[in-house]
Amino acid sequence: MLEDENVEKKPYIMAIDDTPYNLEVLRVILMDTDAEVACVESGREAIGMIRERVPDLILLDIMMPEMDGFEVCEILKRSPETNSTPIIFLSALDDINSKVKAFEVGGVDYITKPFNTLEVVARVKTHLKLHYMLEEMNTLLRESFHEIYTPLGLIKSSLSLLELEQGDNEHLQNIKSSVQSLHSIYEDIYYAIKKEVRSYPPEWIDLEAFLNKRIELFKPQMKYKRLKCEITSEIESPMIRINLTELERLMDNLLSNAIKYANEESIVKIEITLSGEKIRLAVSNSSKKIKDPKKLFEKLYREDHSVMGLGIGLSIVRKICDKYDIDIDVESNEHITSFILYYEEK
Amino acid sequence: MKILLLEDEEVLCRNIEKFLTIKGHQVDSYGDGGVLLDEANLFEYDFFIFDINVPDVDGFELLTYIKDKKIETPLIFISAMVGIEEISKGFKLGCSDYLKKPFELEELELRINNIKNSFSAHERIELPGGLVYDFDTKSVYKDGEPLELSKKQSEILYIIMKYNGQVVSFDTIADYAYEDDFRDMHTISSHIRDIRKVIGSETIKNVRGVGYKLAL
Repeated sequence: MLEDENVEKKPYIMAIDDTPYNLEVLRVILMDTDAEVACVESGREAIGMIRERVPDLILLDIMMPEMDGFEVCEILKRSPETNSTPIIFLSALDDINSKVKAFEVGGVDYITKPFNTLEVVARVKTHLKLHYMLEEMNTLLRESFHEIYTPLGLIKSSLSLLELEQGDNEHLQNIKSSVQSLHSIYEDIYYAIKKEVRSYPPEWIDLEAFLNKRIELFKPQMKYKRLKCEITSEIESPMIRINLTELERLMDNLLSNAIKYANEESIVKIEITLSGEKIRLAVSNSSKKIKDPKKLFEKLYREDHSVMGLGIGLSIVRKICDKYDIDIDVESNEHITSFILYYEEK
Repeated sequence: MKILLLEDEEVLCRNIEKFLTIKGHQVDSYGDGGVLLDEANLFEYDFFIFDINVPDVDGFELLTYIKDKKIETPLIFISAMVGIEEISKGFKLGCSDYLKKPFELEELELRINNIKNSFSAHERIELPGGLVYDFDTKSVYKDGEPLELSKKQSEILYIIMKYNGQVVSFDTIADYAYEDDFRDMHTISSHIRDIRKVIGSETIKNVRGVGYKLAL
């Protein structure tokens, strides 16, 4: 019996193996887990059945004719409906290479034949439990963000109307810029939690056009500090290949930092130039000298403790740059601080 | 414009309606997809703004219904669902754009205007050398006579024109003109060469390693 009270529904497990005898053995073993078990003799047939109804866990034989276990796994990992379904590989192979490969293609575990009843049951139970916990976390995350974004949307739209109807004033700008920061922090948190499990497919983006649009969001913050923003590009249509959400997280953090630490009534400059084969993007502000630029990228490090912030922003900048092999450099003197990105199309 | 709005969050719905009304549009709003289907005449509107997650009949189902009726009115989805799957599903069904909640009302206005401009303003584009591109026939005219382009060339030119000065990547061109067939950059660039011979060499610009764009 599964001793997990949270699970009201019967777990649904699929075993895939081309040898009917192995399937029979697994069926008997799994009787101990109180799960509903489907036994399938080919990878292709299994994929069809899985699309109809996604199992809570899959036991998958590696060596099968036509389509082997690794291929089945890769197909399942490609589809959003099945990419989080835990897959335990089964194999008579006890070599290190196939074990390593099993984890590389996204398997959660590896059981060698001949099966030991206690071991199979223990592993299946553990992975089911983990799977349910993750599912619950994901649901909680999705729903809480959904619920946070609803009032945020109301605040944003009501502020716009207030401004339209009664004109602009300082308090309104402050509320606007705070809501924008709040939104940005939530997006950062969501990205930080999700970045390992969600796919972020890249696309070609015109950097200059993107920045011109994006800077609109920061108008209230800039207005409050009487800042101007200048975007210049010496390249016509500077294109970079990156995921849009990741580019937003990256640039929002650089821009909001540049604004946060800028001296009042100064200019935030964004310059796009060519540096050899690389696109060079510099975000500069006039501010006091940064003592130790390298430290900037350490998590939770904050230059100025009077400025409240979560400090996850720069670590996200760092992670996204690492992912796309974008080099980051920080230059800082008495008057000007620049964050510089170097991007090269591979 | 006459805009049909579907949003079940009552205050947000009122805010959007009020905002668009201030901006000079006429707005009918609903909080329930089923009621909308019963009461609104979908043929009457110039623009749809639909939330996806609404009671009874959801935004996706409504869009499917609209496309079945051969209504080509532009539609923007607004949704708090943040998954890439929903976005691609929306575009697959044929929405014009997708706006993630929480958004700025100004952003919504901007997107509506962008779509309206790309939808209706360009029946024809005037090109240098007295040429005219016509979106309906997907051909180039000189003195009212169509110029000779192959089927593939017409498709490639169409997608570049459609992007209206924005960069069109090789991938986009290939997806549009070749779907799943074999394709490569050389084929595309040789087609572009031939197109340039017909419409002039300066009209389509290369964008370093990425694709092409219309330069007028």
